[in-house]
Amino acid sequence: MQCTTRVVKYVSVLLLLCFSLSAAEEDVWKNAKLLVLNDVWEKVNSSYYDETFGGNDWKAIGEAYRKRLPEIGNLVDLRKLIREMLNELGDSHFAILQGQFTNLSKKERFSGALGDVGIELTLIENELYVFRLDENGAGRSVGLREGMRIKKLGKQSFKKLRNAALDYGLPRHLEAANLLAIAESQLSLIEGEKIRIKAGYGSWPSKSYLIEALPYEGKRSAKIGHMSAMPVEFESKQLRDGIAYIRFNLWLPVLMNEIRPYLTELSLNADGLIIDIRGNRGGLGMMAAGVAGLLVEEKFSMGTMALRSGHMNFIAYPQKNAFLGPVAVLIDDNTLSTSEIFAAALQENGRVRVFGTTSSGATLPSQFMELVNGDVMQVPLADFVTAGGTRIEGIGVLPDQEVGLSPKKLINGTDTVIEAARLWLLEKLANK
Amino acid sequence: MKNILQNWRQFGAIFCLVTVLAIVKAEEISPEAQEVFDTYIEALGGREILETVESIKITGTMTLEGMGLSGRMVLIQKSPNLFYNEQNVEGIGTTIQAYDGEICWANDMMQGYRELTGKEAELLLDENDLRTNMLIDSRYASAEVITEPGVEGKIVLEAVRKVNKRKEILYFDSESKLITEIKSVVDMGEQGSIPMSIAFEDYVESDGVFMAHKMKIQNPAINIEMTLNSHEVNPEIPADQFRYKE
Repeated sequence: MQCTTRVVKYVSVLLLLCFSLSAAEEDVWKNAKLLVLNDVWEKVNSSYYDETFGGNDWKAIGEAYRKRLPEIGNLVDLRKLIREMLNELGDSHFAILQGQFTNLSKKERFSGALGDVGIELTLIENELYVFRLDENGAGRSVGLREGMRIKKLGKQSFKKLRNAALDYGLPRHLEAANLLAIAESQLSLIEGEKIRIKAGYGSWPSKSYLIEALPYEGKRSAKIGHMSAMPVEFESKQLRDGIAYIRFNLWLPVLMNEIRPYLTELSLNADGLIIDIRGNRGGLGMMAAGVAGLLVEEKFSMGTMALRSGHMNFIAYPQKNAFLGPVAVLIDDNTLSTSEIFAAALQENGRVRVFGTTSSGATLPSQFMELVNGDVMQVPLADFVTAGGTRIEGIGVLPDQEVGLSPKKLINGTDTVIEAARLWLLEKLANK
Repeated sequence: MKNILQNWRQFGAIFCLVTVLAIVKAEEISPEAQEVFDTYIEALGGREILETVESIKITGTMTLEGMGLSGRMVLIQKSPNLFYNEQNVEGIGTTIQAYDGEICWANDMMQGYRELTGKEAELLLDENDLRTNMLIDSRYASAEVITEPGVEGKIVLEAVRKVNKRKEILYFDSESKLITEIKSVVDMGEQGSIPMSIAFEDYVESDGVFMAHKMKIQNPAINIEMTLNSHEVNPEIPADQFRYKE
């Protein structure tokens, strides 16, 4: 009975939100937006990990935002208002994702096959650059090269993208990662779709490159609950002098099928290892413990997930044939969440040396919850502190050796962060 | 001065006696609680029938509320505490926990194979003790009936488990005499500690033994609903069912 009531309420709200603007009943929309905002408020009130709300008066925040509802005329603005309300708490891992039913344009957009432009972006000194290009990708084939500075992505100038990112009102430590996510979303195309990118070398005049998305031929993760299937990437290669390199873009189980066999056989092929998690924005927290277990010979605590009541620990259990040679981990300001838990814990434990730039500081374990209108909300469920008691949220993982990318060197094919890690590994191996 | 000391000693002796009595009292199942356990055992099928249960096989489905996740589960238990629990959640993969009589082990996609020890293993062995799961009075060191404000139609027991001294609050339906909910703080040793409640619904009979076919597990991290599709009493269990197979 309770379930039926919930379904009826859900459908009602859904209909209200879809059609209220064309309906004459002003009250219908008024009630619907209040219902959605209250649903968000209640869910945060009951599940947010910190009962004190970081010293904020959550009740008063709710009241203040309810008062602003009359000025909200559509669902897009309602989501924006709700995001603003959630950002008052100053934490990462709050998000409002559009539900399938209210997202028709996006649904139509993705009815085609997923496209791939083979371009990865990065921020260097607050400017947008081409970071990595697929060897046979669409971006490289039209002349784009690593280290090029991007002025425009489609119709969006970099300045516009930056303003759009700032408009989210996210806490400061999340701004860079959010800007990159917004910029990269411009490159999410369907097969055959085209985008014009204006880019150039340093202060040289920019050129315009028209890129047509090729069919995406890589792997995709399985759908995990409200997390849709996503393109996943695992790259491994052997650098010179017995050093291996791996990179993966998400912490999702499907990639464990590649990471586990690679690491358990690595001792036979390499003496040192670079794990590149720059641009890795997270995934399932427990996988950090799984990968860590493939790098240690003794069990260790990676840290604690402190829930509103109770706590759960991330323990890395040593695995058979673990790789025990020296390891360098590469991070940047687009390294988030599970990636940060992994880097921070192994750094604290002394197992790895971390290279790059300070990570985003977004480590709160979170949960996706369906809202009354079919949207999905991400809510942080727990705080995370390392075994040594260090809180990463809002601060980030500080590299042992701070080293940024250099556009000039990227153009010449040198990733300065990989290079720094490689030199350290060589020295370490020589001393051994 | 001596008198004072003497009196103090007497007082101390009396105090100790009272304390010991209090401990003895706390470490027993009160007659009222025993009666609740007895009627529960009767409602499950009766002590005589439950004592003949040597193995159980349960299959079911599970949903992780609000997260859009669902999966399947299989639980096989063999007396005294051998077990094999396999859960397969879409997109995450298969997680197995088992005890073969010598080794308590787990295997999952993310953390791989590992042998469980300490409190984590102790907890699992206790939870999967076939006999004490049904003959519930043997599970507790102490139990007493308590009153919980606002709770109606239920008999409430506060009990302490024998194995890990965990305190549990048990709710029995006054009419059916069956357990409807258990609340406790679960100490998983190095894995952490969380408050948890398990609600039991839809008791169904198979071979004379009743079992809840719906369970709702709630903790601050997740809410899981499990629905049993089948439960077999005394099925044939392959000899190597509980062993880890690489």
